[in-house]
Amino acid sequence: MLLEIKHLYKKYSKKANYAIEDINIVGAPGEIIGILGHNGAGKSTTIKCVTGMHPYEEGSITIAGHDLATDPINAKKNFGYVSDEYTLFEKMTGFEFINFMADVYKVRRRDRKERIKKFQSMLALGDSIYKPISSYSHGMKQKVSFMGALIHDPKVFILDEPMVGLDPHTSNQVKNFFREHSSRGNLVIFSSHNLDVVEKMCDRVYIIDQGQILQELDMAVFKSIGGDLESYFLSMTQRVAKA
Amino acid sequence: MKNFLLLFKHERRALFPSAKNKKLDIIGGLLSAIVTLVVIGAFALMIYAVAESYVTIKVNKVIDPTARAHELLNALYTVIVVALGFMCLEKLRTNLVRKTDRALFLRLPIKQSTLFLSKFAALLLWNYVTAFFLIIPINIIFFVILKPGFMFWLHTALVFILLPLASFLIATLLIVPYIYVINFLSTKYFIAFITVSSLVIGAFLLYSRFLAALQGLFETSSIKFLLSTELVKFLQTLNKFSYPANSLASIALGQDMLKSILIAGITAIVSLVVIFVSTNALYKLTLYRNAAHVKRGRKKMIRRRTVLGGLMRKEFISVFREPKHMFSYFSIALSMPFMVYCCYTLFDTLISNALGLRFEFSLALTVILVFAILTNTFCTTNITRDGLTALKAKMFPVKASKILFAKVWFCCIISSLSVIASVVVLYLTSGFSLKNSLIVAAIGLTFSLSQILIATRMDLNHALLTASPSEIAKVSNRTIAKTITLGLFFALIIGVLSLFVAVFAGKTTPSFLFSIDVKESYTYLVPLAIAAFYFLISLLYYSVRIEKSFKKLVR
Repeated sequence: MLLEIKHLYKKYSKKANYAIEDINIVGAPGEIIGILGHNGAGKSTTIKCVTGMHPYEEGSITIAGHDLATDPINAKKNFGYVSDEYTLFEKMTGFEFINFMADVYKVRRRDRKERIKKFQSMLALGDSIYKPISSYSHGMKQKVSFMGALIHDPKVFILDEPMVGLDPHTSNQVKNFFREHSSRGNLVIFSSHNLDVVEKMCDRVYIIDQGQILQELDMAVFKSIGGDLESYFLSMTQRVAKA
Repeated sequence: MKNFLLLFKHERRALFPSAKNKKLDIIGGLLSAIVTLVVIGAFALMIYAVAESYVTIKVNKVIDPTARAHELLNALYTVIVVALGFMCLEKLRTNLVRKTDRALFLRLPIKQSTLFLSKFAALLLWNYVTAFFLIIPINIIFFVILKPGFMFWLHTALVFILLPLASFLIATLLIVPYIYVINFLSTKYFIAFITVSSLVIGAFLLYSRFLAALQGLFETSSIKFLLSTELVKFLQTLNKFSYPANSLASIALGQDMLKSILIAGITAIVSLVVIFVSTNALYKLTLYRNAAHVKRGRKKMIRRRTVLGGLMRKEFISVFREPKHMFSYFSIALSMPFMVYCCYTLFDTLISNALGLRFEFSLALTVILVFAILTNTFCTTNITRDGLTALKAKMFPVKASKILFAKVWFCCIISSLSVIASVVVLYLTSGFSLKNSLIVAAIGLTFSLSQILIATRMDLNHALLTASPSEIAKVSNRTIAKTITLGLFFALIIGVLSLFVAVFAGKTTPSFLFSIDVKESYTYLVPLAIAAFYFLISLLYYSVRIEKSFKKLVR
């Protein structure tokens, strides 16, 4: 398994309730996994725990065989993350940022050159990467975030609301890249409340609500029985809300 | 009207942030308040001393306190109008032109004129509040000296109404060229660095003139030497041409009231009209487009660095390309040798004139340590200035200690260059011996590193990553106050003890409880030992549970 989240619990303060409770997610090589939920359901909290941005109370997270708590450096080497906030070093140019990320992940010169060229063309960035990030639009920042996260060709690619702010062409390219990346034995896992994208892209979907996983769906099986993700998701989450 | 009040409240909150803070820090707040009060008090006392002497100066063998008071008040009002004008200029740029909330408000059913008026009114309010804290202390000083009667306060009220309008007018007239200059410099980092550093050195040049004047004051014990014939002539000339400050001074002192009120009133009306029309036009102009145009940068070769090298380069870029940070660190560090030289020369002359003795080593040491404290106060924002990107660093496959070490090492390089340059300047200009220079440099470097370690860790413990710039400034001010106090405490201990040892070098100390034979080498060993002790304390404070503290860093 490339990702194993076992019995994960997270609180934002001692007195607060759990933001996520008993989260269990597994991701195998070659899979695309979606975490589906309303705003505030616990998707971003789960992802931020996986990336090490948020400390967690209980449970374990293993990335490519490395435990995030006991072997954080090796665990972090194996994932790339694109956040929904595009927190980038604004004073750098896009090019400098990508190179900086490559330095941090110790990417060889030849590899980074190849990858920069590939992503520059895929994301239609052109010469804009030589401009300061502070002058970028929302979509441009998103594209540079992608490049920074992928420069070390991570085994696990984690994204929080990845399609927000992307133009249709880039959005399509990114979806194609997800498939290409997973086909090379890597794992792509992303959170979204865009049912359409999740339905089309994912092999497995975790429906999350009020900090708990309600359902794990194998999309091949779900589609084979003629399931409609939108109505299923709404009925699941409404049932919990009523309860 | 309801919309206007709502928007005005929003703008007012942005300009005058609430004092409420979740992270209440009593010691930091208290130290910060004390430092502010001491600075204001020192300036007020200085103005009082100058004003008291100036009004008794004879011009053409006649003492005319009211005429002299007019000249001095005019000069002070001129300084306030200009200083407030420049402060307002930046506020105009950030709040009226650059603030991104326009995009949000454009979508709301609010008239553009209401939005503009709310911003305009809040800025005017800010101008009045700032002017209040500048005008009132000065007028109290003149009230105490001249004892002019109750009417003076009514006149002061009139000055208070009119003066902020004049400074707002200056800001309005300069805002367009100012924006162009700022936009031009925003991507010309080296030119910006040279410009800012020249301005800092220029300001220090003025400060050194002030210090030289202070030297005269200590030597003659009278402030009158400051008030040379040239200065009086200059103030008299300024009084003739410094419009509208001279009219405001006349109003304050109740002279030519009708004429002065008429001139100041016309100025006020013209100011209001010009301010309103031009800022409105400017706001419309920038409402739908970004004022800054960013050109494409140059293509660069891919270069591989070590992790530490990459992290340090990131630090360099984030400081060098942000004018505020560049000024706070690089320009101050660049100016440090100059300041050290000025202060050392001043105090060396003072001590040798007063006591007939020279304590080169102790004096140089103390001066360098004090300026090292000043330069390294910037390190109190080592974490905070990264904002949310500090959280991004938590994902890097790099130990927290390495990420923080890159910050400390970067500051250490800048600070060390500054300390070494200061020592070299003293060695070359003040006949300082090589041995003394090397030991002062060693102590200065150790002390600087200690300050950097303490400032960085203090910031890590109190970092506010998602707060507004004003909240960040408030927390930083407290951390700065604590770091300065601790640094000054150790700097003074090192300075005073080295002086004490130097006095008794080669002798036996007078017996209090026990007497010591003070050897020459103690002059160096004692300060070295204290600096080493301070370094060990700071290293311990910095290192203990650093990984855990970094892990706890959340928004």
